Amino acid sequence: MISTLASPNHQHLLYRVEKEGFEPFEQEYPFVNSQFLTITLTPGEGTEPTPPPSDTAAGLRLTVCDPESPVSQSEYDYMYTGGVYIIVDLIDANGRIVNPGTEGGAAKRTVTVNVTGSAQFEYDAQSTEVQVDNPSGETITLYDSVAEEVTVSASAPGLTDAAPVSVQFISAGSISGLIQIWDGEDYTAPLFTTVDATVYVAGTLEPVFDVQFLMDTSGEYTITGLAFRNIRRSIQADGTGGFSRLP
Amino acid sequence: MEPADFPDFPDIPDFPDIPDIPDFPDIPDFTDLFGNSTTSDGDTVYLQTVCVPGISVTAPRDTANVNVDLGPRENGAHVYGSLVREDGEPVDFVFATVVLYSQDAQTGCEQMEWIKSIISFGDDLSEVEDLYSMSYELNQIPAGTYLVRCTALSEETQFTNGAGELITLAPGEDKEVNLIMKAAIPVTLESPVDYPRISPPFSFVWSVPEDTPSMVYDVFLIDRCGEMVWSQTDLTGTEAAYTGPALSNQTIYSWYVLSQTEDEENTGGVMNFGYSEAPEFLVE
Repeated sequence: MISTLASPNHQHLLYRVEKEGFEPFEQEYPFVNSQFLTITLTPGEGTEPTPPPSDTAAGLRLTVCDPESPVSQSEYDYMYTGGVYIIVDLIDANGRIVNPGTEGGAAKRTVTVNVTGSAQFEYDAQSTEVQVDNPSGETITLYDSVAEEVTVSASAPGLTDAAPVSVQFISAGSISGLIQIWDGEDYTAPLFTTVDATVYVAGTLEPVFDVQFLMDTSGEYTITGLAFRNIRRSIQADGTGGFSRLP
Repeated sequence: MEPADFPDFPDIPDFPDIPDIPDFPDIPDFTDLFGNSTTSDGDTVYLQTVCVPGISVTAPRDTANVNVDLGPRENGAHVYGSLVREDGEPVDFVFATVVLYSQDAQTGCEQMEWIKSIISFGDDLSEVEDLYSMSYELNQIPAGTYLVRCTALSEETQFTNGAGELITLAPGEDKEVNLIMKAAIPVTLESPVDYPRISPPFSFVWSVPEDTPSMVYDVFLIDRCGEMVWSQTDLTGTEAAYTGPALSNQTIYSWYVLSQTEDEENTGGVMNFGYSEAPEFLVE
């Protein structure tokens, strides 16, 4: 707590600073319109001083685990499918992650993240602000409905900008059509039925990862994200390896 | 001043009879939504799983008009049963899932799973014996061989039916399969947790309750992107010294433990954790 008290002749101000675990600080200073003071508190007797929040953050880092993704499909303006996850971290001068909550971690920071091209973060934004306030860093999702390479950058006041990272959105095919269900008398729209679809590599037991199934109440559906890359990942994921099993 | 006479209201014509509104079909139970439809009489129709083979897709084009009619499943088996606790205690599960995994599949299209989720509701959760009574039923299951797996959650821990039960179903068969549920042995990840910055050499340490039978553990270390960095399997102790490649001080690592009793009858379950006990760490 900081309190001030004017002297009787209004020539001085008495500053009093109190903080748990520290000796109270009291000092008179001349009464001026504004001044900048640096005050050092002395730890209280018999108490361990609580270390002030370490602010070892010197810069930012962007991490993209999978920098290649099929283009996303926008079924509705506000909802995309697929996307690329980007992790925003605070780092110290040696490049070590110092997100808030890690040992010796920094205070939370607000970071501005930008992307080039036609790619967008959630809510159709090409620039977004995120708060890095937990030990895992902050994860944001990037979408693009155009096959292109885009660059993601990040900055925050007082911190070195993150090294930009590239993300490649690649062309993907899709499957579409109409799903109808038997309601006891006829084939109709699947109004109250949950329907799901899984895509497999032809002739195998391998599901294709990262595809998206969208269906409206009329039964019109689209399966998007069908790229060779996804088939490759599917086969690698179960350790069978190689490409000989592709159709 | 005399008020003006109001004109007579014209006769209101008889309103035409409102035709009877047909009964709205019952909305199916939440847990029955998947793959079922409901007739106008409220009867449940069990829908087929349809396989559409040989679809050719070329990016960036759309392969259109792949239309699918999900017809009724017929002449399938009826599988039902109860969930009971191995220790004879009253069943106190709040949620359970029974899954029949097809064992005959040669291709993904034939790889069918039939799922039944069971939720216990109750106004007074202290009166557990009746409220938590759990049974399940799966209808029109195509003939074949299936592995029946079940997981359940009580308010305190999780249960499984171990390695599962293998059953063979004939067309139209009625089959009772009661599931014996065993409590998972709680495994607590002790160290390193909560994002410490550690210096190699170090060990992974976890614990189980004192009266736990002999267990076999597998420990895994993964990097920030989920890639496996190191693993050690078939451990019998609750500590594993890290012996993998040099770790980077520029990232965050996670670790986890899979376990089961030596007789393979019971599995271990890692206790829930939040940020404060997350099995994640950094390197000095």
